[in-house]
Amino acid sequence: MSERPADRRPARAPRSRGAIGAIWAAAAIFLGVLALLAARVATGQDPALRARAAAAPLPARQVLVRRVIERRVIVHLPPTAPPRPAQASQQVSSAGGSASYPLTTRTS
Amino acid sequence: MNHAHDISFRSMGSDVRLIVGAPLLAGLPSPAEAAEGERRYIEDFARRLSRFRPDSELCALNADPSDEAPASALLRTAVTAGLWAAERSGGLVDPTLVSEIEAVGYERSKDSSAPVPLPLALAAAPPARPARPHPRARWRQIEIDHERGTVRRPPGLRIDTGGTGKGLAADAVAHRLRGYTRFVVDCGGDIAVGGVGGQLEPFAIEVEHPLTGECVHTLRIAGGAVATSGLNVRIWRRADGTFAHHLLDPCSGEPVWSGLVGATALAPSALEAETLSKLALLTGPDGARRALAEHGGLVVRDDGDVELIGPLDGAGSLAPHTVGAPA
Repeated sequence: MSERPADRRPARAPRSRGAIGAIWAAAAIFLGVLALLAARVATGQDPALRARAAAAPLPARQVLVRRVIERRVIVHLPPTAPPRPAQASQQVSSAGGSASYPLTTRTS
Repeated sequence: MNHAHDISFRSMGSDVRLIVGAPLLAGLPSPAEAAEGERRYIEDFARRLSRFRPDSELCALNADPSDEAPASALLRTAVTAGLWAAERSGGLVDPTLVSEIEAVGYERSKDSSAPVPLPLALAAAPPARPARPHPRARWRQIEIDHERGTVRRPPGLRIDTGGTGKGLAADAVAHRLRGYTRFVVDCGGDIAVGGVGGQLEPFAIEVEHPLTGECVHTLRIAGGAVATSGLNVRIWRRADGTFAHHLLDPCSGEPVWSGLVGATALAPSALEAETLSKLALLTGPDGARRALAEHGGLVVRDDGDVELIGPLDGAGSLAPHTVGAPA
């Protein structure tokens, strides 16, 4: 009956080492995966963003556009005609051949 | 050095200018007295032949319900001049379009109203086409009886001497001034010049562009006449918004849009020059070349381009020749 505690101690050591190993292995895998994902994010290959981009496009936003056509006719008016001689004026020109102001034929 | 008397006044709905040189013979009135006498003559001429004065002889003739109406020598001469112009133009310068010109809005004088800008009217004008004579040629039904002093025409056929009146007035005054060394009679752009002085020193006459008002050409004429017709002065907007002017297509009774906006003609007389300038404007570029081929002239197109036609650099009694190139 007195040998039972001594029998149990050797059995405990292998089980403890196995648990620690499992923890270390899990941590290593976690860090490995983390490093892989960090590397992909750093290179612009974020899987989350790619998934969003591949998703179905949003329905087009409808915008009501009213087209207003304004037609402008621009007429370039000619310069004002030179002033005509004063009405009812009377003057004497001294030159035999030349008038006091030019003779002009125009629409009347 | 000769002294010329130079006066300007308003008559016949236009600017009138008279220049009278020294008399050739003793006993003739002085240039100043002659000019004043011719001024009174023109004002009397306008008063008696006005379409817009109910008391004028022309209105009395048109209101007479009989088929033969009395007419003074002046009125008979004016009607004869209108018939001559109709014959000369193949019926295009038609003196019987009174109802038509009233229908398009020219029932009273437009001397005091400003014309609408010609470019606006051209922008709205229909496609260009030359005028055509009235198919019934009503003017051929008018007869002048100088012995009886009457005018015969179908009752209701009214006559307008305005189309040729200024040219006739210029010729009449030029004839009355033939005893002076040189003279100029300018009745609203219908200009008659003469006198022995013109042979020595020709008259320089500038041609005004109807769109810009600038001088596009200068003619030198020893004697004879020059006249200009255009669309830029007597032009208005009708109640329906369309534009109208005073030069009608006899066939349609509507204003003509021939592709030309101005025409200047040289001729031995002012009456003929006025008739030819109207004929040129009514018939468009091709017709104008034929109308102005004999005596010379120029036309201004819708786009403002100027075309010289005929013997502008020819010799002869008219002796018109160009000085400088067209603008």
